[in-house]
Amino acid sequence: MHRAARRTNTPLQALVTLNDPQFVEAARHLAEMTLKRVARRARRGWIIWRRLLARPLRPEEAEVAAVSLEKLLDHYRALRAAKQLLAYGESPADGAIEAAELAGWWTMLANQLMNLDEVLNK
Amino acid sequence: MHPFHDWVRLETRRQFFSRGANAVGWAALASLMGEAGLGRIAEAGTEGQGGKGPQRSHFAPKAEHVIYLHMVGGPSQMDLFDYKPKMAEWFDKDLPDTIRMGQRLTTMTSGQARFPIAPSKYQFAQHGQCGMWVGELLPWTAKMVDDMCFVRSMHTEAINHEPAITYIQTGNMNTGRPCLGAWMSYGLGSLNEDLPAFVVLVAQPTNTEQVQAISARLWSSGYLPGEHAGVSFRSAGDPILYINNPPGVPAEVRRRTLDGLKTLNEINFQSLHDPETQTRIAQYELAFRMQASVPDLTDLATEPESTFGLYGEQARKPGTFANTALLCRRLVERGVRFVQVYHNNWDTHSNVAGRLPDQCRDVDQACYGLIQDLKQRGMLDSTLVIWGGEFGRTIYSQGGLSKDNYGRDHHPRCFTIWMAGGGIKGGTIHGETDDFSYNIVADPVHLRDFHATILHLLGFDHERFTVKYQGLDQRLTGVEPARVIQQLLA
Repeated sequence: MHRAARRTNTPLQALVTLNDPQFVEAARHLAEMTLKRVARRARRGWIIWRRLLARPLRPEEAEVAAVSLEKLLDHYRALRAAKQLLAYGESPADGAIEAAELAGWWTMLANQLMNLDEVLNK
Repeated sequence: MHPFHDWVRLETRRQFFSRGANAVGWAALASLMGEAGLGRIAEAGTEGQGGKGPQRSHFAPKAEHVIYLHMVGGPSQMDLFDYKPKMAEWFDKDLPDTIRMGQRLTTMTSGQARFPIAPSKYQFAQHGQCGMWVGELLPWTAKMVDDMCFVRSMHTEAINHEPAITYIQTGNMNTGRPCLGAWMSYGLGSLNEDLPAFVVLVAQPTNTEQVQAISARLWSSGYLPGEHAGVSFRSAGDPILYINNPPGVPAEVRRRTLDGLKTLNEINFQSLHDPETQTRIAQYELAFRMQASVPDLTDLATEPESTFGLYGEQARKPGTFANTALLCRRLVERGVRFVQVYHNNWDTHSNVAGRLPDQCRDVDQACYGLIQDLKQRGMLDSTLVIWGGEFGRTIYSQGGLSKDNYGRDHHPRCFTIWMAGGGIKGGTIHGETDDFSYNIVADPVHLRDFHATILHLLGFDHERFTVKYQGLDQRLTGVEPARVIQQLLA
């Protein structure tokens, strides 16, 4: 009865993959790349998802992603904190993309999805 | 655990009967498992949910919390607790073969032509009602001997640090097994959902002449579920790295992303039933709660001045052993089950006279402060405090010997640890070594017996506290006989 080696699964690891500048910056770049290449809003989520999970979204997953995204985009448009978030990490943010949109996409999808159990265990 | 058993454990009654047309196949399964068996397994399996967890104890625990102060490197027992006045006549005489009895040497001393005896250069005196002999380097510890129990007859087989420290922490010299803290977290669950059940603190010693490696696998959960691994706090800088959200991400935004993450992970769990997914959900929620609970824990502004009088001024300085000891009380106060502390540089192969005073100064008043503090707050009876290293040291000198200075090599055959609180009988002196502090002459206590005794205080029969893995009913005390040392219990 052999149990395969366990992946690290502690709150410390969670904090690294959520807040470490390297991860945050990687998430921002994924978001930037997606926003620049894909014009249609609906397709963008799908592209990020496919890149991270190598499979399409299930309908119930798409619903969760879409609902929260709208709320976060609203939040960042009102908040004016988008620029602070985009400055995190060594590389500069792409100035051509609207800051609130990038921050919203970043926080919702990329950062969140990079922390999925399924992504961490790939 | 076999994946099939994991699945069965998690299949609740409601889910079972909601399968509709597929229920026919499931009903066959139930009859194979036994309906009672299926129900019992489903009830028992609440691990990975985060929060309290099941209580698996066999009887009521005396100790609800453990603070294990591990002195990395192996403190020199004859210079601290194991008083050997006859050695004064033996200065610079060779250790007799009748005493050594073929004990293997390490490569660090095997090249020596002689093994001259180095009596302790420190003065000893008796203290307390129990009359325990304590060396001059530990005046604060000496004040509280009647609250403590000393075991002078500990013994192990391991002669080098990595196997020895692994052995005393996990019950086996080979790596990969859960440590004592993981067993306690698994067995008793958590008391506070906002902090980990098992915390690790690595203190910075003042003197760093000869420090040993302290590997993260010492606090691993081994074959127990991942959530029972220790969570280590850093001794310099932020106690927890990346505890703060990036700039521009306030708490409500972070909460929103975590809500979405939780829902998506739960959708994944419904289809794949991997219990580690549930653990991950729980650990993210714990991480979120720690963002608030950890700053509160480490902010000493609320501590009265009397606290620093008790522990010593060093307790104000983050990273010191004294500060760590104070954090131990604060952690236990907040319900943390097991705090593992490491204090390094006890491995005095050379320059005992230069290093041991620094070591003792680091820990002496702080340990006194911790025990008194726990006592004053009514917490000592339910908190087991343990102090000790992974082996002892040799009476013969390693390297140069003079009346004022000497070195000592590793010595597995006997060493001293002390315990206090949590059901331990104060004023107890257990075990005796020969005049050379080389062999045990009365009441030997193997690491296994030490573990069995600790588990007993936590409410466990060490023979019944098992986890099935790789074909064995694994237990901390291993496969060889181990016994609870009754004389240590109140």
